[in-house]
Amino acid sequence: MRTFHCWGKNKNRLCRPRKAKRDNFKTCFFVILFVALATLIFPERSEAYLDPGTGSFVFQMIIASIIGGLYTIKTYWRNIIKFFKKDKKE
Amino acid sequence: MKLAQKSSFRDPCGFLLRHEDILYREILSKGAPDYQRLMTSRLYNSLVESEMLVAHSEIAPPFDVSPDHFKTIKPYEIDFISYPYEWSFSQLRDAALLTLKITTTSLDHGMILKDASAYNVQFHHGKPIFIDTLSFTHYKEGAIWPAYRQFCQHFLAPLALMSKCDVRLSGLLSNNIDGIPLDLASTLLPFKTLLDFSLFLHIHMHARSQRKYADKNDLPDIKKNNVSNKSLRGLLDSLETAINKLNWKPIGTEWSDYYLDTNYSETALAEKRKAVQLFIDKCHAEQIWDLGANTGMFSLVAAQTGANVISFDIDPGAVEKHYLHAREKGIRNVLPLLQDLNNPSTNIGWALQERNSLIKRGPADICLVLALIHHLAISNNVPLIEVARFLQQIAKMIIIEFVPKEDSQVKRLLATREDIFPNYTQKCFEEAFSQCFKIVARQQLNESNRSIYLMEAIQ
Repeated sequence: MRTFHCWGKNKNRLCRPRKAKRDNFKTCFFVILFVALATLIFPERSEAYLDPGTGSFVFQMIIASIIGGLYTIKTYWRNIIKFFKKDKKE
Repeated sequence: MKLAQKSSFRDPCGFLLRHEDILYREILSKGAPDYQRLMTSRLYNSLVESEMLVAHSEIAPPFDVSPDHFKTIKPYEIDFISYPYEWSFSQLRDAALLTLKITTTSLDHGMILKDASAYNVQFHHGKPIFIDTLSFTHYKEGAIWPAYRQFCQHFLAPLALMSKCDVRLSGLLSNNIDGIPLDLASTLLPFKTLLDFSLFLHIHMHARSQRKYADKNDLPDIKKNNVSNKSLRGLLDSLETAINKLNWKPIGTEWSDYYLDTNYSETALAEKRKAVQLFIDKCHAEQIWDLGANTGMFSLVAAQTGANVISFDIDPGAVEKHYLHAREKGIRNVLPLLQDLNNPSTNIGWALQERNSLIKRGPADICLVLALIHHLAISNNVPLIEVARFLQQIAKMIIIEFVPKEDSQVKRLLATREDIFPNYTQKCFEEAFSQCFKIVARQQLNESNRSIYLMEAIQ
């Protein structure tokens, strides 16, 4: 029989895997994920007034390659769609 | 006398100036290479032919030029300068899309926009047009887009706030002359915008990055350009997608259904239209301002004379509807703008000289002040003489409608408040306005207790 370690006070106790426990685990996971994301994303009040330009500059360099990649895929995808549309017309 | 315009003083490549009331742009030697490239690369022709960039002609300067003068150009002058905080949602959106389109077209010709200020766009013949000839610079393969931050602050952040929070947040643009700070936008935007990839990236993460590097000394090597042309086009495409996804529909705003809720019979409305038409024809105006224009019923009457009509209203919904209607019908001489007459646009920017107040952009040849006086005098407690003094500053002639206390619209305003307006009578109205205006004509409307006046400002 599979067993799960429980979280919190009873972590040394072994208990049976139940749906409610799994749901708890999921909720915990999402809460932690949310908090991590929120901390990462929401800017603290802010020294950005000092020089927001540098952060923008660096940010653009970082995202450009990702966006460039997505753009390439998008362009290919459009060409594929065009090709099939042409085929249909013909 | 040569008078440099404060709207362009930041640019080391050149500046705007006014000489004998004509607008010129002096290009300095620093701006020469980029200007020559713009003219020889066919980019200028391509943009002017598609009505995206304002045309100009090179002239011999009729004034003393600066020591490092290169050329003087005379740009086609826009009839009325408006500002982003006076635009409706779709106007700002169209201006954003134009800026992106110009950047992409520039890339095709080996150039790029070095700034993306919303103040570089104006409305001309019903469409947005780019007015800064010196914003174009040589594009070197691998370079980043220097205007990315400005585009996000001037266009994406205000549009996102208008679309996702409240359309009235466009007012933040008048407090933040270089666009809405991204950390502020990120704080104000609702949580669900984190799930929108474009806004997550260009606003939330962008703001985060700004904060991270604001006070850092150990910066990455930012002089090393390493953004490929394809990536740059990807960035522009991503911004265009972000802008296109944002929308706002004027439902249930304050005035946008006002015409359905007035006390005019069809006859009285037709008569009012006829009276306004007749008075406008008497004046031969080139520029007409319609104050409290709503969705523009009487602006259209004014536009039929061929004059340029600027239609102001306090309600973003009414301005949006008016703009969309004018755009759809291809009306070229009506410009709807947002304006709160109880607190009109003031001079803002460096030394309060960068962007002009409403008064400074006047006076108009004619101001239409129809069904408005009761809102100013009763809703906002402005004495009639003060209304007259203000109108005298912004118009040479006015066509004004007096709405008496017996009118159902005024009764409605007074229904929930004490009547502290014993002087709000037609007689007092005429007396007050006679101090600032000469009454040229007056017409009582049949089937209505309202009157329309044509008045000329006393200089």
